Amino acid sequence: MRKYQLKLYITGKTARSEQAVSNLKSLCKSNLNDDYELLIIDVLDSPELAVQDQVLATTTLIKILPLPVRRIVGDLTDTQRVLLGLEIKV
Amino acid sequence: MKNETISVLIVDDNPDLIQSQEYILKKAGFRTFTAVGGKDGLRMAQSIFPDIILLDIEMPDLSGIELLKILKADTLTSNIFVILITAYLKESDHQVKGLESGADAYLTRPLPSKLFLAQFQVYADHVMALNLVKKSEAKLNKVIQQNPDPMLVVNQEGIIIFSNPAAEEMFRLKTSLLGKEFGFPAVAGTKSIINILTGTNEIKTCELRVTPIEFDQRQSYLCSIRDVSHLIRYENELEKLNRLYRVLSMVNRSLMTIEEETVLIQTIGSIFLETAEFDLVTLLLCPCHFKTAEPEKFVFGNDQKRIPESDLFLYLDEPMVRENILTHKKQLIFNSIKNSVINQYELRSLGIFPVVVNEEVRFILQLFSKEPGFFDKSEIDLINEISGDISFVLKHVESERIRKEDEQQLAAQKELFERIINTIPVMITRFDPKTNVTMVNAEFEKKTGYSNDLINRINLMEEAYPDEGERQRAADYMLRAEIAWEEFRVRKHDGGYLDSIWSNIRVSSGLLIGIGIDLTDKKLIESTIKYAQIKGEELSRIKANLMANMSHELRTPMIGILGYAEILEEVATDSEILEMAKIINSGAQRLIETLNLILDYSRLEAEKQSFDLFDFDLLTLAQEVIRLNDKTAKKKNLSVELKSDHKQVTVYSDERAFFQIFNNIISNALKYTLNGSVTISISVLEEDETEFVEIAIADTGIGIKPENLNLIWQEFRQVSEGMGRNFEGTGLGLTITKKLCDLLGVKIRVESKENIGTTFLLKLPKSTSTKKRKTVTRTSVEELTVSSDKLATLLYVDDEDTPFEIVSMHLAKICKVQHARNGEEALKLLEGDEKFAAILMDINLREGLDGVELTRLIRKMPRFALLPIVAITAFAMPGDREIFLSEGCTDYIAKPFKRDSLIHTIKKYIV
Repeated sequence: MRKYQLKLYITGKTARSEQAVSNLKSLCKSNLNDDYELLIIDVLDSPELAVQDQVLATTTLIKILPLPVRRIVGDLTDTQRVLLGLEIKV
Repeated sequence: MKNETISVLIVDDNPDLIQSQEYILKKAGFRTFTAVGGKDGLRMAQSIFPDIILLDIEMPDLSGIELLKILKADTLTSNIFVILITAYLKESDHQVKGLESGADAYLTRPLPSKLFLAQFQVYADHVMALNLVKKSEAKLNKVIQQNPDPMLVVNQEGIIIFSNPAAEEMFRLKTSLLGKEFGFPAVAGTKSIINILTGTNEIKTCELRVTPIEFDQRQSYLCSIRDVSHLIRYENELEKLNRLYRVLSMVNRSLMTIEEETVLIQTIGSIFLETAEFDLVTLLLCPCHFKTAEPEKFVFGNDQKRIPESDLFLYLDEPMVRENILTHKKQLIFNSIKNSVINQYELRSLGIFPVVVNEEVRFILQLFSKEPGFFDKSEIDLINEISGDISFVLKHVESERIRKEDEQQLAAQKELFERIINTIPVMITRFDPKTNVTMVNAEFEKKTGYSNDLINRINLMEEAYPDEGERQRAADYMLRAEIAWEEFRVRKHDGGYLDSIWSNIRVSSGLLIGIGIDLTDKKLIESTIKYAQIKGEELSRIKANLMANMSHELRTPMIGILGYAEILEEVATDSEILEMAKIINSGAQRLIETLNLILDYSRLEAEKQSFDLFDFDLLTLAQEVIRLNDKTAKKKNLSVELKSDHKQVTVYSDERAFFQIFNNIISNALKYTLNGSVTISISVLEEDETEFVEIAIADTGIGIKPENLNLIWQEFRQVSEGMGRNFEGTGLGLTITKKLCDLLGVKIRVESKENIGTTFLLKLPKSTSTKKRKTVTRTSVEELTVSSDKLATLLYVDDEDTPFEIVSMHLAKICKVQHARNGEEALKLLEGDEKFAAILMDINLREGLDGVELTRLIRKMPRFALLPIVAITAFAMPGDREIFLSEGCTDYIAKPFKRDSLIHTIKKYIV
């Protein structure tokens, strides 16, 4: 089991969503020591999951583990803000 | 004075104390109110809502602590800043109670007035600050509430703590947004694009602006959300259209230079993939409807061949799609692909566009995008425009290619034509409708001395025909351009004369062409023979020998004429050239017939003719001759009939000679008959117990005057002779016929009445021998063709170029031919690396060794002892063949030769 369990909600394979994914991956690589699991969910493919998780907007990143559960919304370009929002101290 | 903003209520049961405190505070600028006793204090507090209450604890009617409790319990008064004041220093439990009840501050008496004011001012400043915050929060609330843009306030944990009506309206959730988790807004700078998922399953593209604020005295984030779906759509649309416009301009610019269709298709695919940024592009090249042939498939952007081709072309297997694309030639759009096979590859939009060239679907373009709803009207219009441009480019490329091919073919044909025109031993001229000669070929220049250069400077007609009457006859004849041959004496540049026969044609473009054949040789022979005839019997032998010698010189140029005419007829696609080739060929055929007649005659004269006697059927032979003359008969509208009571009439004689006899008489009959018919009757009669065959060939022609009847058997005689003779021919046919009949023991006589007709009667014994003729089967040229990768090589030894060129053209399909001009060259080639399958050997090589000597030399070399050597020579007199075979030649071909017989002979030695 990885230390970080992440879920990323995107809408379609657009340039923006692909940018968000790549931002996140590079962030994870340099800050989470690659010790993470990331589940990417396209709301176009699985709208029911978004409802279940009560996702109000995309791009939304949910940190499931370690607790507390935190979610952030936005373009994930500002690493510091992402880490702050996820309450991850590095 | 800032203290003016603060209202103070002083509550005490001691009026003196109230007065002194009021005095101090009023002086400091505060607005003061007073109440005596607790009850009065409560009433005042609930009506004026002071900022601060200065409250005495010890009051008889309602203690300060009680009053405090009531005030703090009421929301309207709970925010009032309450300062408890008491004189009892030691009553610490009051202090504790008061603070527990919600007092904001505590003062004790006695207190010097200055100290009291200073203390009070500290509390007043605090109240003033609090008031300010409350006022701005209220203002913020109001601003947010009334803002038309959706706005949320979220706290540090990402929970929505405030939302305005516009936000509620946008999200369309069943319950309020308050308390829901929006998420911590992590955006770089102040704004970013997010997608809002609404309660009604809509997705809205929005701009999110984030401002950090203090809300309810806590660090929070004000999120302003603006729906920019339409802007983004517009932006996307513009971007997409921009990409497609780039495709359009690239198609027009870069494709024009591409000539190969496959390169073109590769380029189109890459442009759509890279410039228009489609995720996947396929191209289906349909040479015709794909029912009949497997179309060629091209796929662009399928990394690592992730998607199997069968899936990519899935839609094209559907009859409805095919019908739409191929029949209606219309695009098909799938803006949200429902097909699960395609869906698994995350492809959302598909546009299928036919590219139509010359009313036919040339290829089908499939454009896949991961973006749902990619194809709007403007995109479709633009792509159709692009496909129209591609079709234009394709058309252009194709017409360019066809034009180039045509040019090449035309150039090749022109080159071949010029080569033939300038090597063919026939004179060719071109002239205009005023009989100005504008072009002559090499043969004309050789024979007459007039070059192309020269004819531009002189009047050729005046030079060639100095006699005005003759010039006029020539000009009239040239312009009539009819299919005929007429003799002319042409004055050469050196002043001498050239006897020649000319034919003129008007080719389809109106171009006039003259074709001439040198008659010097023929004239020479004729005059020699005439001379010999006059000189009498003793010269007969000389005549025959002369004929035999002249045979070689006559046959040699015929190789070129016949050979080129045959090749030209075969290769020419141009109607003008074909027409010329046919005329040359028929002229040459006539000359060769004449030549053969002369040679047959000389052979008979030299008494070298030998006969091959076999049994054969006269009826079959007669039919064959009729078939041969069928064309001539039809042309003159004459009927040729064969009559006999028998199914078969077998005779023992020489079939070839009989063929000649029949042919001479029948063609003669046709020649002199203008209307009516020619009838051949073959009957069997018995005389003195011997069976005889009688053949009657009757025409309805001009007939022969009784005094001329004996003339017909004489050589070179026609009943009408000289320049004014009415009928063509050498006048040798009947002479030969008579000779042949005499030698074969056939009795021949003629009956004729002028203007009624002539009948030739032949009579011979009907014999019965068992000797049967061997049957010879012909092989077609196609059967003779050998596949080009294993072509054998022949060595052709001939001092002249023309026969070599003809032979190599004739044999091009079955073997390669190398040329040696003399014995020395031939020996050098034989010693080289090339392995020759056979040698073609001309006999008269002019310089050095002749063909016979060379053959002997080659035969002496052990490794060539068995090499086939085929004599190919114009020495074609009786007995020549036997001589060459005895000298070591394997086979023999007489010049001039027909293509088929050449191929037939050579084939034996190269397989």
